Amino acid sequence: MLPALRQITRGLRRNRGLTAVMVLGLAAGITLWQLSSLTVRQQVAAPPRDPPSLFAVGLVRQPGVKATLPDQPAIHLLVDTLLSPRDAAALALPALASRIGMTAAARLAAAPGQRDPEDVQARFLNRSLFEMFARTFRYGGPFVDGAAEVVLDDRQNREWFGGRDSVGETVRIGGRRFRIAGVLALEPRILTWDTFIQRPEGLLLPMEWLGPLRPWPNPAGPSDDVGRIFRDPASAEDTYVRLWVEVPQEAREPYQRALDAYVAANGQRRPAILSARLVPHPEWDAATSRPEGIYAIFRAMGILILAGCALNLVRIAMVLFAAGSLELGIRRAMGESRRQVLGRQLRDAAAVGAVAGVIGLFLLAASVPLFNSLIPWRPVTFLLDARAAMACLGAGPAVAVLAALYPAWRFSRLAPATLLRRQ
Amino acid sequence: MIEMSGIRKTFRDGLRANEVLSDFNLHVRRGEFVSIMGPSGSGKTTFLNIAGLLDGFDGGAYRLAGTDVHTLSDDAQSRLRNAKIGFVFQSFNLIADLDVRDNVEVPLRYRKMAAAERTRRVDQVLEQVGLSARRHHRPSQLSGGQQQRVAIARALVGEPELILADEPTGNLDSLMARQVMELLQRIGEAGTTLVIVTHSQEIAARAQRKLHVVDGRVIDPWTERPSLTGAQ
Repeated sequence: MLPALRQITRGLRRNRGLTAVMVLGLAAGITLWQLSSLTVRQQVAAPPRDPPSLFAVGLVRQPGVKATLPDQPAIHLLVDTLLSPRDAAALALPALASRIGMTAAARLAAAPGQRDPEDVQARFLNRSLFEMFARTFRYGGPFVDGAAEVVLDDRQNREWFGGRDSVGETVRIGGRRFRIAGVLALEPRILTWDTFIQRPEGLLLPMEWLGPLRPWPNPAGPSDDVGRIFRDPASAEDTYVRLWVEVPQEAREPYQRALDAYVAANGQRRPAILSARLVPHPEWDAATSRPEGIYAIFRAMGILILAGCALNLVRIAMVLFAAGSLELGIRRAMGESRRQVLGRQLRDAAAVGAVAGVIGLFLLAASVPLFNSLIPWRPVTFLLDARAAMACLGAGPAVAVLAALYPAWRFSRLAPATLLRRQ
Repeated sequence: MIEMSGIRKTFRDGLRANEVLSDFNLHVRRGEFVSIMGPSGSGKTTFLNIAGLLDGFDGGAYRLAGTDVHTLSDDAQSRLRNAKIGFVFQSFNLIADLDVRDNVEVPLRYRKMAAAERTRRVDQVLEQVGLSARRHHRPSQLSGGQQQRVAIARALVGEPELILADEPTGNLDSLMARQVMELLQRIGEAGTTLVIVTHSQEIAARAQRKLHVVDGRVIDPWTERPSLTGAQ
């Protein structure tokens, strides 16, 4: 083992310039590949739970309704799973659902301690939603429904508290003080409970504060009178709330019948409610914001970059092996077989790849803040989990060995006399 | 030790074919010291490469130590080369970034041999060639004569039955050449078969048998006719 390591390090030192180009080129490729993969992983929702029991309650409204966002072109609502608060309240059926959770996105002026308030993407939700979407906590735990408590996400906690345990600290929102109950853990892929309208939410607080805090409602609803929700919640049509329910298999039909009955009872509403149904989470996820297909381009780009690196490695490996052909000839003359030559060359390539993998991992960790600063509205938070580490450390040797396969095979086929003549 | 009959070897460069050895016949007995002379391009080195299993041949038969090499796989040829043959090259062919000790140890690395045994053998041959004190020197820190002695130590360390030397003194001054030849001669006298390709009459004169290669054939120096066996 030790002689083999000595031989490998000798090989790495011998052609320092070319080896450095080889290592850094591959490391850069691995970084870019993982960066694209990381982006995709963070943007694409986690696979649905099995067996599927999680549903969004959807109301199909009058067709052709368009939604508008400020300074944005008009968009069509594809899945009407945004409900008005009164519809959400009416369609939450605790007798049929094992768990129920409502959520609404908002932007709030908030600040920790005595700092000046800043615009923060926030979310109102029920405590049960944390469990329904299997969210884990880095510090503390979920808030108590109705309490003056908040939960921060990991990014917001790092921004406000430098990443330390901030449970028990105070956040000011709308002139009120809220205690931090927990900080969400960073997860490479999360089961999503809503589409990100602008940016990931940093502040999560109990649903009961939706009225008292009066955040600017989501204008992407059918009503022209955004804001009526706070003046007249009982009759407002502003779709603002997403209702998630966990419904056991045997309760799905009764739940659907209850939804149909609600549609029939609200026939005179304008815009008209045409139908209602339980939308399985995977269907909702596929139809809303995270089509895997788009991100496949990122994945393909990452793989193409890695393939480009591999091709570059083939050329460098040819040059490196050619430079070492005299030693190869000497070793062959001394009794090294073709198989041993091939094995030795591939082992050296694997060592180069392993070094590149480690450097790639460090480059990846260093490049994410740069990436974040370039696209601040959509930060990708680097999470050095086992998968990313294994991908970097595994891809380095794998790509290097693959790239060295042809040059190593070609040089191993040469007669020792031919190799010795190359001096 | 070496039985070659009707060996042919052609080098091809595109459409051009250059027959370097044609109907090459040579028998070398075990323990014999043979020198091979001939003009440049006559095929001496090609013969040595084929004899040392460093290159293939296009026709004929070659038995090394009783083994028909044509039927052997590359693995088997490599094992045979490692076990039976030691090489001494004109340009020493030492690995530049290995020290003397590691260079000499290279052939033993391809044998399943314990590290202690490898060390013992390396120490023994370095003692034999008088380079024990230089064991941790790199080739670039040695004179030409010392480098060739390292190469001889490397050839000897595996205790081969046959040593093939290609112009072993070609890059040395006369004093060093004499020292190297005396060393090789001692090795030959100890019973190792020695085949030396050389341009030097003085070196050839030390051999038990002198052969000439002309136009890819062994020539009987007395009659200037192709020899069937290479034997005088």
